[in-house]
Amino acid sequence: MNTSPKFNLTPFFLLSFGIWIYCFRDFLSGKFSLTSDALAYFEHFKFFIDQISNGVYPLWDPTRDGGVPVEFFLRRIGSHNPFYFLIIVLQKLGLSFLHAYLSFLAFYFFLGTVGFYCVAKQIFKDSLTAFVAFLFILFSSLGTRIFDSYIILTFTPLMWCFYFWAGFFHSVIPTKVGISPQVDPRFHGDDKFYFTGGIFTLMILCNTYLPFYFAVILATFILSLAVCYWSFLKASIQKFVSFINHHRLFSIFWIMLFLISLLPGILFFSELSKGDIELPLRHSSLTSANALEVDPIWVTKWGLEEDLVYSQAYLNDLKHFKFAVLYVPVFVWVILGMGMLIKCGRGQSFFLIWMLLLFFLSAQQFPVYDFLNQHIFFFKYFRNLHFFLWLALLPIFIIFTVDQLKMMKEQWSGNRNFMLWTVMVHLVLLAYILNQTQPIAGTLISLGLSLLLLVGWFSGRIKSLNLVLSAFLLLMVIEPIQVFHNLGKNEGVIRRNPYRYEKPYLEMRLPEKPEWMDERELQDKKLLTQNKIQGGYLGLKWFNLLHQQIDPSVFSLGNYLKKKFIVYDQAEWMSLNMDRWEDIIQTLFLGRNKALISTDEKDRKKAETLIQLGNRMAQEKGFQPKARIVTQGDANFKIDHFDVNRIQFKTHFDSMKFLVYNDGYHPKWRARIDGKSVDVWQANAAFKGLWIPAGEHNIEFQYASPWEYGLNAAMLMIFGLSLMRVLWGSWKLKNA
Amino acid sequence: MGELEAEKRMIKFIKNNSNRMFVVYLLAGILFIFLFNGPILLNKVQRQTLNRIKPESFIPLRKYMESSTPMAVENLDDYIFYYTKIAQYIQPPSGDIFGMLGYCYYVSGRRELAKENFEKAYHLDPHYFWYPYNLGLLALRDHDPEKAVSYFEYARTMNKDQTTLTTLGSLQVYMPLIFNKDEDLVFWMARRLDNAIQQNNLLFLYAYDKVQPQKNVWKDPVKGRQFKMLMETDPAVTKLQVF
Repeated sequence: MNTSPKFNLTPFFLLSFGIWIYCFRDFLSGKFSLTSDALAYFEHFKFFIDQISNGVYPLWDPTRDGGVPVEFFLRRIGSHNPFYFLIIVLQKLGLSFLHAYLSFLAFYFFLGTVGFYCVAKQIFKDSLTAFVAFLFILFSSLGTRIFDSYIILTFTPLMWCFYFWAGFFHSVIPTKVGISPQVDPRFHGDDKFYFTGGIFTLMILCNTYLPFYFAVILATFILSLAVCYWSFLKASIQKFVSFINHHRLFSIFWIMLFLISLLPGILFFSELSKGDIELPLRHSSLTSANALEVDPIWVTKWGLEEDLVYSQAYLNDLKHFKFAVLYVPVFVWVILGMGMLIKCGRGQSFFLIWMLLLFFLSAQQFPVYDFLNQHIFFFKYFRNLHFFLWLALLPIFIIFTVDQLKMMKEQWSGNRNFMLWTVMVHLVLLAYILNQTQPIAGTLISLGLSLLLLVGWFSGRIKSLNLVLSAFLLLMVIEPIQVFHNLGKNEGVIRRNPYRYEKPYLEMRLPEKPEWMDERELQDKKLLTQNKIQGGYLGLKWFNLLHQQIDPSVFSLGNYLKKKFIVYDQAEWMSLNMDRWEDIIQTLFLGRNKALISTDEKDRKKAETLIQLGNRMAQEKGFQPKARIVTQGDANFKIDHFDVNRIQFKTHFDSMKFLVYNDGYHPKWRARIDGKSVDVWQANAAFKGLWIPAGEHNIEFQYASPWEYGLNAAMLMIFGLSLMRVLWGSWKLKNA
Repeated sequence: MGELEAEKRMIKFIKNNSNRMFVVYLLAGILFIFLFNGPILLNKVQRQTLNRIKPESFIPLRKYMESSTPMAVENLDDYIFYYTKIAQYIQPPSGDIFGMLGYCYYVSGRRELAKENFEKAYHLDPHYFWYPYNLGLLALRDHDPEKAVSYFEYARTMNKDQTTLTTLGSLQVYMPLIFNKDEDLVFWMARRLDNAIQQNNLLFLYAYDKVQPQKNVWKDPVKGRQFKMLMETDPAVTKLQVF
């Protein structure tokens, strides 16, 4: 089944992409709203790209939940991925962010499907079969996850990772069963290219949301390889070691790059263990220190098995098609049905074992998962086990199926009995579909086309490859066009409101005429909540505590946060036990002119020394009963610079004051007065504060140390240069 | 020798075919069923999936049942889909699921399917008043008064308390749709049932009159007046109900 050397698939690829774009035009144009996790990821990207476009690497978001570090969100999107700069390029070309982002996602998905095609081509050594596999993945419901999830961000680098490493190991000469494979000693120039590409994609994978998904997929792949292709695995390891020995500098360089790329993730992981950041929805009832650990209730609520059963419910009635339904064109069942008679060779066994391994490891209803959860640390971080279905099981299943198509073509072409079998399988499938499901027209037409194509192709009547390809394309798109149309009908919600961050969000707007609450407003009202309020998705520990304790029907934290800066004449120490809620409420909402500074016992003396000094000066100078809210046009306060990570302003107070900046407190915040470092105190339970001397001063608050910005800038450069190296290698390879 | 040959051929056949894909699938299926208690596991997962398939809101259906507020076709489709899945996943099935399916199919204009489901419900819950009552109404609309008579007559023998208990026990199907606001729930249900029983009696006479014209019914002052009203109006106006 080898295609002619001059065969050109490009028009078919372009046509396939064009049809796909047509199917999702309402989603891609922004007419229909993004939903679920896709919405959250839009926000992360918008925020990140906005800041990068302004030359700022964002590590803090002052607009979210009182101010939060954004490293968690950056790790989720894999912020060092150089492909994301495409969004900026598209914006510069005149697209709005939304259109640039959606276009980027579509492009990224296409890139992933092309990667899948390349992997399939390496496995099948045949463009036609690989193209069929490509059509399956393109017109499966994997593409729909662009609009309700973020799986594509892992899918694309995963496909290319397998492509590069398969390319690297392809020179391990395959042999017949019983003879050990040998390593081609010549080391093709391609090997360096594939090695580079493999490392680069590994870097991206390890920097995107939970690299442990990839770790499990890789581990099961190697295990399956060990079972079915032990000699090949041995030879591959030999080749890898041999390559490193022959290209020591080169290999060490790239391996070092890979290890460096792990730094942000490792630092973030250790950061989460400190407990300053909380993920209440994920972590809720757990007592473990690391906020990444998922409450088992989330895992057991919905897993891989539920996804399969859920999908099966909708596959029986495609008119109700929705997001998160695992769908592949009906032709896959034709091939599986016909393939029942083929012999299960080593290749088939390998894919089957790989799928079964992945299934049993990630299905939380089976005991294997419980065991792994207890003994392997990263299993505790999986919330969405059903991602294995989309990231790995679906692509493997497609390869497994299309391999059968190839085997049938090779073994049974021209065989009359096989023609009869083809017709029988189609009839049985048709009977099942008509009796057990609510079929759509697309399914029935596809079945008819499938019968015609297979009979014509296998009998040798359809010889022209262009015709065969066109027939496959037609057969594969008819049903999905209708299915995706139903998706739009059932799930398409017209977008009426802008998404978060689409409206201006980064303004340091000081209030005009703020007021404190009147004590009389609190008469007969309970101040603290009776029921603990669940926090948001991510927040700082102290802000979450405030949020959970204070009754929102009485006090508005949102209104309090509008008072960006508050100047206090006095302060007092409060322990980190936060047991003085009356005082907290007095200070936050009633304007009691005494800030609350919280420290642990270690820093208490230092804090109290400054407090005594400040209070004494206040006593001498006299002070107002209420704290002063900094307003617009305040003569003693001028903001010079503000971005997400840093704020710079000038003050001119007549005496020593304690300034509270109502932005979340985190130990990584630094402050300088006239260039000299000063302590940032945890003020008013959850915010930042510092003592400012009398007179004119330049104050600067900055989140995180300079080396962290340096590290991220270096990461961006490393990833960017790596991509350029891979592209250059690819160009060289093509021209060679 | 012949037997030996046949045996050899059989062994050869098994050897040649033991690694066919269908054998692999069969073994995998057997493994799943026996090693992992497949059917029980599947049932557990199916029940969990129902929560996700459940429509976002039952308010449109509730409003329709309460006051015939028009409902979008897509909403109705979603409800039918949901109840169909409950019927598939919850084993053994109970009458309320088919009762609800029957109602939804009737509202969507698919009378045959409505009848089919009400009949299933009737066989599963033969002591629930509303199923024979609805089947009687459907029979009347199909101009089959004899069948209608048999259903209405059977409905007359139903025990009110049993019906109320069955409704209260239908936590997944009927209870989410109950739309009483201020009254005591049991009292509210009993009142609806009483009204329907009276209507059922009239409809029984109406249908019986179609089979065998009855003159005596006109002598009763109350029944006669009601009966006259019923004769003058279309029983199709009488709404189907499920609780």
